[in-house]
Amino acid sequence: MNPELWLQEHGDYLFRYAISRLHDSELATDMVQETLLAAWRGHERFKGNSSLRTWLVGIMKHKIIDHIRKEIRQRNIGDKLENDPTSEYFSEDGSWQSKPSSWQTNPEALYNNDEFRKVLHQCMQHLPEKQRIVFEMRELLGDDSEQICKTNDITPTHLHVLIHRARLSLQKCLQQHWFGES
Amino acid sequence: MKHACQQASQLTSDSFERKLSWLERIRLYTHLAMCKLCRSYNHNLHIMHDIFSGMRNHEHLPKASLPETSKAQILEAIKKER
Ligand SMILES: [Zn+2]
Repeated sequence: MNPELWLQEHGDYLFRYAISRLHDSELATDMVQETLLAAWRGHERFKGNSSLRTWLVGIMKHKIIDHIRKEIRQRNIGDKLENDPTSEYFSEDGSWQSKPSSWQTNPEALYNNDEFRKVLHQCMQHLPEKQRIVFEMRELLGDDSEQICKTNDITPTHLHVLIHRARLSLQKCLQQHWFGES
Repeated sequence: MKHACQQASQLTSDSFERKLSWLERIRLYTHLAMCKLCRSYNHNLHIMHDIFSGMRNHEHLPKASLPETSKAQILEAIKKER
């Protein structure tokens, strides 16, 4: 058990993992440090039935969730259900304002396409913060609803509304910036 | 039905998140049957969903490495802890 060696062998991986979640290298460095220290303090708990890296990533996931939760509390990030931004996408009578057209594409060709990823990332940056956080947890991290609700202190219904809003906005943004207007 | 497309778009999204009730499914599918725009939206959300699950399964981490100064700082912190 040698935390210096962990840093050597897994530090870069943990750092990349943290960046992909937090988009901030200073914060990512802190997460690597906290993860390694926590792992060192609790190294008796490492059972060796998973790889060391899996174990470290598991610890880091918790650190990241704690961080997001704190951030949400401190900054009081809200997305009130009362004002309904989805009405922007529909006319008075509930019909589509900007009409979706069927995307003709192969998903596989897209997720490996760096250009597309860039556009997608930009579209996600435009989401209101809370929508972006829950949508990322859901679709990028694949977290289950219960975990997301607990982290963000919201009900499942609230979660579904936020995700629905995020999808409306992303669909429109991708239509405009990638697939082209109909 | 009033606000039909607005409602259908919420149900389309929800269908990825939870099991729709029997009534909701009827409402959604009868609407999709007669509304091309909502069919397109439904189709696009499936594509979006597939893209995200593809991204999750083919982990694509950014190319970055821990700066040397950060490494030194972390080593220092570990030393204190030991
Ligand atoms: Zn419709």
